[in-house]
Amino acid sequence: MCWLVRARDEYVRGQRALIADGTSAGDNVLIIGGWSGGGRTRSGSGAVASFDPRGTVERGQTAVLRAVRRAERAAGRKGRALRVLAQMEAIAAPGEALEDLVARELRFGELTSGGAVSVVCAYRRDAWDAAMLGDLTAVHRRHVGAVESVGFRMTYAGAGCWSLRGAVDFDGIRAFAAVLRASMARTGRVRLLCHELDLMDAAALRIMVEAVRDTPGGAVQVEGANDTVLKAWRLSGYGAMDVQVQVGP
Amino acid sequence: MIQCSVSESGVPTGLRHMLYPYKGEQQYLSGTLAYIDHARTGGGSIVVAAPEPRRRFLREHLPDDGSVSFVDTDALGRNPGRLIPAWQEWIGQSAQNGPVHGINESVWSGRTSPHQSELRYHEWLLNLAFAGAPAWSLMCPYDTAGQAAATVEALARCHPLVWNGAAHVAGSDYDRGPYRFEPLTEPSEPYDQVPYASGDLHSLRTRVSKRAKAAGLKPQRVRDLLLAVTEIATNSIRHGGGSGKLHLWTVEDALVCELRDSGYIADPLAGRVRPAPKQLGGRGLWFVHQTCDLVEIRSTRQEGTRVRLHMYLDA
Repeated sequence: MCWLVRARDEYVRGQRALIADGTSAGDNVLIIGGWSGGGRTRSGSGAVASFDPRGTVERGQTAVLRAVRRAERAAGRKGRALRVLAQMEAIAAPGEALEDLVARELRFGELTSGGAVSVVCAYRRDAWDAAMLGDLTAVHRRHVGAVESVGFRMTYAGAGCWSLRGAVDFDGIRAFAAVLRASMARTGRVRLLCHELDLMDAAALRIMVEAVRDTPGGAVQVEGANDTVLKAWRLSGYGAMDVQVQVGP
Repeated sequence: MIQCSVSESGVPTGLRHMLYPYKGEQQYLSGTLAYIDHARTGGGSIVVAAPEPRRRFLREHLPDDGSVSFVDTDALGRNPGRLIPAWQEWIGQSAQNGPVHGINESVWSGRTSPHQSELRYHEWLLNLAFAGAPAWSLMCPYDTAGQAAATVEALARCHPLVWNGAAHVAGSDYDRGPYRFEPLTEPSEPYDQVPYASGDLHSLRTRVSKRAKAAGLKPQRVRDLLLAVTEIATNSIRHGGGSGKLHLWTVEDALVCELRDSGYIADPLAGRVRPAPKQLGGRGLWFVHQTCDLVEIRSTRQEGTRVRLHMYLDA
């Protein structure tokens, strides 16, 4: 989930609420970023831990993922679920390129696929570009907080496989390009499950072709396309190009 | 005036595009068979694009020797904007057998005034679309019985040549252009008016979808319309001044969406020619012509662009 935070106060209140809610439900909670409660403590029946990559030698995504996996294992040993609250300013610089940020988000998405881990990515709205925050909603199942979100969602559905829902149009084209390229950078070949995709416009089809063409070994397989998506693909004529994109029902 | 010329490589190019005004079945048959005989004498192949009843009628009067190919225009749907790429495909399939002689018979009766207007414009655009293509001929039969002189004259303005039943002669009414469009009618009351800009595509589709469903359009056709609206609105945002205004209304037989912006479409053939696969852009208007039942475009540098999309409710 993506949480677009208005101000520091709101973040602090939300953090407290998430901890209270998680621990009372018997889940463990991991706070990534600033937390005034110390490194590890207990609250209710669940445990609360924190990790701030800004204060460690190990910076970057690898350190964050390692901390989450550690916390997941700890929770798993107790038969608990893990709730992660990630203060994104602690993980990435607000000036970071969209594609890099999306790549981080996709990794979080993968972590949540087993159902034992949930991640809330908190972005302070005054720290990030508004258009970028809108684009980032694309990789979250839902978002909280006012933002001009894009019309599609692309979320992890298994190894090399992503669920694409909604409508991919020009308003979301920057986000779609970033998500597609980041997912192909992860796995090369990408399956897109499009059973809940309403529409893909000409710009989106072009992005797919360009992303595959620009990624050595890259391929996209669209499955579950509706008649309109199939028609648009057929009309585009891109299928006649020597490019590894397949669009099917 | 003959439209054909010779390319730098010495290959004759251009379209011999002729109107065949006739009255009644007998005159239709005699003139059309004469054209086919003329074509056979000249060599090459003959392609007839006509609705099924007319194809059947001609087949009954032609020897069954396979010398005439019949193509199904019904399968293309009603939008005249799909006919140029269809002819490109049909003559492409036949051109290896020498020059192509086509017969192009559109359905005029029972069509709305905007549809007939677009059919005429299509006829005029054929001259542009095939100006540089290898030479071929296209004869367009038109039943003038019961038609006003002005209607026949309007169609004659679109054809450089006239088939007189035995030979082609220069058409005295042909208008090289700029094309004289009939003015668009005003939107019918009550109509929705929705301004749009970047970030509004989703809400724009929601408005159109609601109205289309209420009008009884089938779900698949609603989605097709939404794709078309998205493409035109995107053009407004990218090339038409960054914003536009949607007008949405229902007429007796159709749902109509008109998108207006301050941009200008310079190429009259935009969207009416299949994009080459390796050409990465330029597919928006192509999608629109292939998904909507009728598309009317009016575009000038002074007044901007109006793209009017019709979806028939009986389809």
